[in-house]
Amino acid sequence: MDFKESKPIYLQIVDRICNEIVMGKYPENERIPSVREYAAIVEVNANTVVRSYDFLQSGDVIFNRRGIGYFVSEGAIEKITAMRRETFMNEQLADFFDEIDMLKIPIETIVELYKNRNKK
Amino acid sequence: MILINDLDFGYSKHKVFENLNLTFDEGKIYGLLGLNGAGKSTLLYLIGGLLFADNGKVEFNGFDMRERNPRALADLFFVSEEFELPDVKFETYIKLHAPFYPNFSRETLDRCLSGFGMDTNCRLNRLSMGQKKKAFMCFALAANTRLLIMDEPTNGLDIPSKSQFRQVVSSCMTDERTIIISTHQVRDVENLIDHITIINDKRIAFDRPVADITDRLIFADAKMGQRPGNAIYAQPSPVGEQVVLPRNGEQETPLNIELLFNAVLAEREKVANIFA
Amino acid sequence: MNDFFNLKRFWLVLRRELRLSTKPLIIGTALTVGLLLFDIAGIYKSHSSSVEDFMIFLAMLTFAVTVAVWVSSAQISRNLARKTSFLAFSTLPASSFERYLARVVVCGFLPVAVWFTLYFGVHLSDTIVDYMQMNSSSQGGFIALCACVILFSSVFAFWGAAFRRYGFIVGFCVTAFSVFALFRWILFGNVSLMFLDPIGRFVQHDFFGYGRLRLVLAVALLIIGAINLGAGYFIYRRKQMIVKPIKKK
Repeated sequence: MDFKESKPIYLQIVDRICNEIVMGKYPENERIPSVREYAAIVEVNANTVVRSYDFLQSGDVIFNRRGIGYFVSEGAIEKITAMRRETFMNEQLADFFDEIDMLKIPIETIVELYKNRNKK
Repeated sequence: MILINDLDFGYSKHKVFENLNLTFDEGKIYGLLGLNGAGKSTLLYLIGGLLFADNGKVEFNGFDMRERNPRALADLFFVSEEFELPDVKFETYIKLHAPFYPNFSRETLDRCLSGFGMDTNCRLNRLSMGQKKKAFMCFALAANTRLLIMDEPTNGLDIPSKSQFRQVVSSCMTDERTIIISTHQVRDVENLIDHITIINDKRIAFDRPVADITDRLIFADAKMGQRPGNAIYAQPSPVGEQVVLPRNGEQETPLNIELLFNAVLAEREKVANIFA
Repeated sequence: MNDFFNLKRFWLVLRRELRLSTKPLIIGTALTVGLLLFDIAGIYKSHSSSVEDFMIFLAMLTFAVTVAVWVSSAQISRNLARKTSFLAFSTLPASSFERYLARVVVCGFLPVAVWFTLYFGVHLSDTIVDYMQMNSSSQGGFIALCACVILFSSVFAFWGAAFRRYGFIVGFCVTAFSVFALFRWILFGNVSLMFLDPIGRFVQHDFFGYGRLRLVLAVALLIIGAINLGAGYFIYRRKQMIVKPIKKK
């Protein structure tokens, strides 16, 4: 069974916000747009953005100050990188290993290619 | 806040609805879908008090819509597919019609209009069809009614306007409001909707929140010859096939409304079983 | 807030109709003035202060209003004929009665009021002209009335020409005049529609004989008028609902 799928919208939005934080658009301890404001910007239902914000909160990338809004946590960029590292290892890397196994490419070939890639 | 109970409705020659039961809650944007002639507009007219049911009840905020109570009408706004704007200045139109809606907000109107790149300084009948639609929709949103019904809202809007439409509607939504959008152009409103209702064959074929759908179904692409065994439905695509299958702990996928619609119509039983 | 009738809400509907429905207003006015000018003018000219004649006048007025409503009834429901204007009007947050009344005012009462004012204006000017130049009051009245008739016939003709599709107006006019003639005969024993005798004086008819019958008929007309307006409401209320697939026009 081999089928492609794409990320749910709320996770796509999570990525978007993370990119913006990494790019520096929302520095640490600065306020990010409210749920409704962000929903309007990306043209989605506010409930979807709520899910995204909840996800980011649970990853400690943002925190909520009641009545005021959501803010970027300290060390958010590091946390984002850690989160992405873990996702990569668990998903893309696993898929990659499956693929090279199926195509019967030995891992040594991959390592060689990687080493030579930097030399070009 | 909208309750439809045991609704029967038909014209002299044919029945449109039989024993229909449906509810709409606050704080949600509903997408109403159906084949041509399935009765989407009819259902909207029934909700809006423009049609009377043969049997059964349509209740909005506790008002029986059969009575057409002005207080109920002041809390709902119907943006029909075809509508009329008189040959007057926009300001005049506002002056004549805004007082009917006690929660009308001039601020919201100006904000929505600027979202579309328009203002009130125009003569309504000199606008293009698309601009008239935008102007009318802005008025509808500014009326701040608890129920807003839109029949094919993106029909006639140019490409940038569709985007503006989504932004404007998204920013006007509140937890007390209900918006019902009936449309064939599902891609125009794809991420805006959080509940899907499909009418087919005189009854409700499907009625679920989007969160539920993405929780229980997966929408994916499969290469030819690699259709998953538990796929409920498949249709051809450039990659091979677009498939719908039940979700078994995999990561969620975005909802593909067109695919869902076709799946529901083709395999109603199978879909129903997943949500049972 | 009353759900059946609320003055403030009614005013909002009326204001909207007045602003947006000038066409039926003008048509109604032209029709009413054209049709009624001839007949009712003669009755009040009697200068009588008897209760009987006043009752008759009142009855004829009610009937005239009713006729105006009938004549304009096509106008009253005209905004419901097209799907788009139907939707715009029917979804207004107002009661059916307020909607109906607003349309009746715009299409029926106002045109009649315009006529009524003009008629009394004519009557007044008749007296003034009379004092200013004529010996006989009738002659002054005759000139003023002629001027009025010419003016409004021209308005009537103009609008009739401008809106060529209203062939039904011609048919209705013929019927209305016949009906008026009938009532004139019942009430006044006179079939003639002409007021002017050979030397240009208003013919003052003697309103005696048929006394009780005329009174009964007068009351009957009042009641008919009231019933007609009431029945119109129920019919109009039904029309505000889509009862069959909306015709796209």
